[in-house]
Amino acid sequence: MLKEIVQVLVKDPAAAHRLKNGQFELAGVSEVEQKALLAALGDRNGFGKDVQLGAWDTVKAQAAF
Amino acid sequence: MEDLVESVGKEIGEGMRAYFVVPHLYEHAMACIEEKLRGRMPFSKLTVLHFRAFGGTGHAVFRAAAAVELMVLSADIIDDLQDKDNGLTAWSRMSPEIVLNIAFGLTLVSQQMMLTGDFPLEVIHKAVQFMNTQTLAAINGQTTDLLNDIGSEEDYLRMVKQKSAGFVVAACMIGTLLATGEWNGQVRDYAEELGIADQIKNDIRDLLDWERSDFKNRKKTLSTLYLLQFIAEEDQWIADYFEGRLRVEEISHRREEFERAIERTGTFLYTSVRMRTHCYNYLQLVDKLDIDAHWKNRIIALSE
Repeated sequence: MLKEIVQVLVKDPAAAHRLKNGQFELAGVSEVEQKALLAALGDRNGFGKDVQLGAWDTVKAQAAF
Repeated sequence: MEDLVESVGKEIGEGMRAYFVVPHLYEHAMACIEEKLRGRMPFSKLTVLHFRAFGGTGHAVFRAAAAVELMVLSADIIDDLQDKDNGLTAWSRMSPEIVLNIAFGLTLVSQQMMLTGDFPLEVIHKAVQFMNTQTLAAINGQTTDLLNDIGSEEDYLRMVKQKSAGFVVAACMIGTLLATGEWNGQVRDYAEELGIADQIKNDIRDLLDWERSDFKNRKKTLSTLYLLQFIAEEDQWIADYFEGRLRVEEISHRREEFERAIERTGTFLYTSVRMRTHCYNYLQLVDKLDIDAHWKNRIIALSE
């Protein structure tokens, strides 16, 4: 299901905004995957390689400890 | 943490002097190890951190950590030898026959160091048994990797659990085991999540680095499996390359096209989500540990 959602997101840039606003159906995706998806999209230039490879820092910053 | 690199390095040096008595073997092995010591020795760090986090005290842990580091170093060397990869390492500049002896010897020195550690015999027995189990799992995973026998994400994850994540599990579990004398399933589970997240991160990096062996060897990873599933008609040459119908020389001029295909298919996004998911799983599992907050935060910081 995650794969299908990623396909929608890359084909329809507006879908990312709907997802961030909670207006996008995320059925079949676990809570952790939803959090990961929003975090990945939340990165500046979310589809760019540099940002994706720097995701480690983002994860650490978001750790609720 | 205490001066880990110095303490572990001293233990490794003693082990090498005791067992690698032919000067050529000793000198070349030390060149490999010195290169390793210049790194951060992440596996030793995991072992010592878990030993301390679970109440272990004293200096005996450094020999155990040295044993873990040598176990992983020997596997690293063999991996590079088989993949013909990593031309910058000390062992890549040596003759393969000698490198093979060094790697085989390091595996056994690693065992000797663990067996002669200052811990109760029944705990040492469990630790060595676990090291052997993980090394044998890694040999199985490495064989799957060499054959590139990865047809699905499940195959990929099974291979990663056996190989790279398995060494992360071994380093964390051995530290915990030496401190408590017991298995800890929680540690095993989060260490595996950390190891998988780290491997996914390495794989996406290597997909873009066409000089490395992963691309040249057409390695199937989470990223490439996804990419191949969603490439467009005009990018079929990528599938032809990964299926062996095109040689690397025939596609070497299409690097930018390749990067665009990765972006267009959402390969980075998908891989990033999968990597983050394993990392979040790791953080959640660590949070459930019943240990002091100071040590919990130190373990969490490993995901930096």
